[in-house]
Amino acid sequence: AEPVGSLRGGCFAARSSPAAEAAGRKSGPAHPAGARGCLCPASGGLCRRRGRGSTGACPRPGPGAAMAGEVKTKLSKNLLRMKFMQRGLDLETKKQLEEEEKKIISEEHWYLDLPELKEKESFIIEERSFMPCEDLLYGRMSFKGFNPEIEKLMIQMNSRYKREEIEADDTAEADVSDEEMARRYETLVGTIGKKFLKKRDQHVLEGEDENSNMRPSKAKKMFLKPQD
Amino acid sequence: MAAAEALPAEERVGQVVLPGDVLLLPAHPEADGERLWLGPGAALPGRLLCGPGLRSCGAGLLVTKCGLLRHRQPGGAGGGSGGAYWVDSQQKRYVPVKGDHVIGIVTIKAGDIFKLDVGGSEQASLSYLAFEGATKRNRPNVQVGDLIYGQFIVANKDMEPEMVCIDSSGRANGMGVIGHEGLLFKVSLGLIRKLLAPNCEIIQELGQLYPFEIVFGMNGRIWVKAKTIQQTLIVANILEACEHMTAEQRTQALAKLSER
Repeated sequence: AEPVGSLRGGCFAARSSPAAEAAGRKSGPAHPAGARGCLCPASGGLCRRRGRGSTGACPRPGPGAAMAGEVKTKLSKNLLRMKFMQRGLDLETKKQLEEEEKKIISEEHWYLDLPELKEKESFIIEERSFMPCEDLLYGRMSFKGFNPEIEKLMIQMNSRYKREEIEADDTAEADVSDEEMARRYETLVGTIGKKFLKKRDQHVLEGEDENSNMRPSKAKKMFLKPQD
Repeated sequence: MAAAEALPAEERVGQVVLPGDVLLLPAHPEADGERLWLGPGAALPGRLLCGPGLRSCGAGLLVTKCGLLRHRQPGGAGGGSGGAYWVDSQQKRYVPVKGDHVIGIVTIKAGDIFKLDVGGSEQASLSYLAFEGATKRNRPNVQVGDLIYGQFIVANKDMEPEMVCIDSSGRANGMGVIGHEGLLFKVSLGLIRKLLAPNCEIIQELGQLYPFEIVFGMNGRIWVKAKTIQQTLIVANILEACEHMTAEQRTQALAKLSER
């Protein structure tokens, strides 16, 4: 009773020939050698040499493996591109496949075959509104204290026009210069930031402040995803 | 018919221009398509503002409305550097323009939006959230027939105009529902611009007459409210008539009124 070939890697296990079960095979566990893509456990999946012709003489199975009536299961390109089919591949083959993929994608992209056009810088701005042309006042007005809010608003809005002109002349007349302000903030952020650190990070922070001869702290134990 | 000759724009400032006239602009060094080099601190000195009634064509500016050609000198700091040209034309029919403050009358209140009549070819839409402090729970108190002072945020020939009653920072700045009393009347668009000019004598003289409140909409609508109905009507009549009065006639009329 021969063990039925397990569906490894989605490869369809063809009927294993009884001759393959003969002793003297190099490979360890029994495997149905009749499949076109022979499941060599050594290569961890699909044997590389599946691309070989119909005589697909796989070196793995022993001399007694007469492939009588082997069925060549043709696997589609998409299937072969799937992740689990590529686990056994070489780096080179992988690269090759990737390049082919990229080539297909880039060929599908459209591009314009035009000479490079220079954009003309236009110095005319077209404007349909009168507002920027004539400096019109604000539309709501109130006189002799009829509506005090509107009167306040009038002063505010109409001085906005004047203020925009004055803004350009206004240089930094602040009490503290910009550089000093920046320096102060730099240290301030650090001191306040320490307050909100968790205890673990505080310890690390202290280690940094001290001399750098201390041993590096243990790397945080993170969950490592198992490599494929 | 001889084609109108193209004259330099500077020569025709203050003259009557007709649609189809071409105004030449002084040749610019960057007219051959090279990129403008921005000098340190220079704010694109070459930028010219082509205002209403003008359109840019190959050689210069093409006039599309009849009126007087106006020019503003290149100002100092701020926007508008490079000067501005526009045509000062007269019309009564308003065409919505983005950024204009107008008075609208609420005609329909439909769910989330109000439809306003602004005097244009289409009614403008105003969302109920476009008021200061309006939320989904806290709706503004607007009824059909109310007057609203707002500004356009969308106004072109392809889409329905949209209005809001807040500015870009979310404050009302005087926009919103205008009070219930008062009088709304219509004047031509040119008069509104004349009245809103920085040093308008009409407004200053009127302001010394009675205490009153006034709102100008760029769509030709003015709303006035004074203490009594008579005063309101007087102000309205003066504003309507002052378009065709000379300065002396106006001062005479106002003097007569202030005697009473």
